[in-house]
Amino acid sequence: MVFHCHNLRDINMSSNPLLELSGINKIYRMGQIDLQVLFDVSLHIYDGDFVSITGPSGSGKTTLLNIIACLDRPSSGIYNFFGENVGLKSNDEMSTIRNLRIGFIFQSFNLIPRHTALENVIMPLHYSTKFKNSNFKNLGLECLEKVGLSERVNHYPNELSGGQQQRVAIARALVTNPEIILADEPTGNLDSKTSDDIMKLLKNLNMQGKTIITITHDNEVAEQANEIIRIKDGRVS
Amino acid sequence: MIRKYFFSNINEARINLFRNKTRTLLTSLGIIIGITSVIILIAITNGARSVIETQLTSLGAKTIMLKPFVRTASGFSTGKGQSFSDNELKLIKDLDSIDYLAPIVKVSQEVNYRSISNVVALVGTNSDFSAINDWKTTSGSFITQNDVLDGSKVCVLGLTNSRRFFGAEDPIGKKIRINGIPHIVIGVLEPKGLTPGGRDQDDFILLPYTSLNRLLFRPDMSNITTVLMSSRSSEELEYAKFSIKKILRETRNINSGEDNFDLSSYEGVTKRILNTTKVLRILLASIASISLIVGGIGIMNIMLVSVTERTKEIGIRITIGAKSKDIVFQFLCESALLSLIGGIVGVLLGYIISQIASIIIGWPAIVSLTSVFIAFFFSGGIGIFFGIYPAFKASKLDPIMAIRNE
Repeated sequence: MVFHCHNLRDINMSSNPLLELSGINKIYRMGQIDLQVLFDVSLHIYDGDFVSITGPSGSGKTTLLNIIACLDRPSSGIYNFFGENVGLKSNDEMSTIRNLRIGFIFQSFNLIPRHTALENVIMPLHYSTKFKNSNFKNLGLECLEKVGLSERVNHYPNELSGGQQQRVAIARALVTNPEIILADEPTGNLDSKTSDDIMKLLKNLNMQGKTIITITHDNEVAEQANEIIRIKDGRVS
Repeated sequence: MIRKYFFSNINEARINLFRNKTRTLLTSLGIIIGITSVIILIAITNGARSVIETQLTSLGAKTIMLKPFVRTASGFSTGKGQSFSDNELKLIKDLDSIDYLAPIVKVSQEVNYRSISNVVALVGTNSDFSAINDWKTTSGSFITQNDVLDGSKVCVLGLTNSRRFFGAEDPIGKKIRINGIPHIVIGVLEPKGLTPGGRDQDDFILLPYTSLNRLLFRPDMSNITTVLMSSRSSEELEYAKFSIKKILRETRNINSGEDNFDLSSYEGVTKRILNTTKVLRILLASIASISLIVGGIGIMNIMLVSVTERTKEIGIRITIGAKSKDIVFQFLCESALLSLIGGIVGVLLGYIISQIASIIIGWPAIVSLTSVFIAFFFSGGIGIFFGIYPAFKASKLDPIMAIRNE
């Protein structure tokens, strides 16, 4: 079964999906035992989608996210990312994909403590040859402005609230101007008011054309998306 | 491209090191101590070497002797030798490796002052004699270049002759008769005492060799029995000898076969003494290098701890697009910068301490530019060498596991 995610399905049905997973299996080898985490997962994600992947813990949603994020390779099946087979890419090529095409947002923000907000935001720029050193600061400030943190540029993560830290992380996810934003439980560590703000920010980014994929077990968060993919025991249902 | 890459990594390293000052200081302490001790030890042994070398100069460590004879199995054969021309001596004197050159004419003549008369060894030479033998006057002055040019009737007495002719009287300005001709005493040499064989080294009278030649009615150079020279340094002695040989062979058209002159020096003794200081220097430098290696291992330890401590950070960096080489380079930059900081502080500290030590021990401490360069090169190298393993360890981390590390 192929799961189509498509918020403008009627108009865009004919266009190619950005991400196309077909028949993905993931098996971990734990000593003598093989542990299969994903079973024959197939799904298409199109440009401009806002997708939630949801399911109980242990359902395999994190493994699925790692594969979508080009952090991991499927054991079998084909994953086409912008029409190219990720399974054939080298580690360095996968790094480049993550750097330029995917912005990452995590539950625990994952900022680097000894770096200021601005330094955290511009970090992905160091790993690409696309940007000039002299532009780093401007690009960083622009993104911090987008998330409403222009006042906190030179603060260290421990001087910022959870919501502010997550905004810095979102600014970092935007800095290389990727097509896709991957958010792993983006509101898991935040109170409900701040969660709403962050979800609004993500929705806004979606309206501006970013393709957004979140994984969450929070139904309220999941329902903000245009499409919900439910995963249970390693199978998309 | 490469420049951008290099600078952003150096900057990253700077951020990580300077925002964690205590750890940076403690880590580089090993390198600081290592470099400091290397600088001090090299400075002090260099100083000792220069002191020993000056002392060796008075023993003739830099002295070269040139004789117009041919050395044979039974001694010198005068028959086959050829005396030196003014031009040859001038060419030799102009060599870069030669500092001083003094021709020597030796004869014994009757000398008298008032009623005292004695046959005394006369040595005709020039102003360089004093520098070559490190032999100064205790009163009056030495023969000058003008005395030699003019053939002045002046002389400098060895202490024995000062006592013999003048007793307690001050001889400066007095006239003594050499071969009946009056000469003014212009100086008295400091005493050298007896040789181990019991010969009195102070029993002679020095005068300009031109004056002595005139006295003997031998205005040419044929009675120069020895030319004494001193090379600029004891290291250059061999080269100086080689150059002298070349000049004489050229002017005399000797292509092959026997030379009609003889070159010699006290190299054997000098070499042995200088070798001893060299051995000492190598010994001390190797002790100091051990502390550098220990310092390097300290850096490796801290970098390994740092990799473990920053597993999550490395995971984040890889996730947002860092390649293996980015992580390797970042950690290498950090460890290299860490030991370079240690190197700079070590050089400064080493310089200060060796200057203080030099005041206390009373001989010069020479911090050579070479030792500073070696220190920098070494500390940077240690940082990179001992940083390689931790850096590769960091780059091999699995981002999925690393990012979950708390």
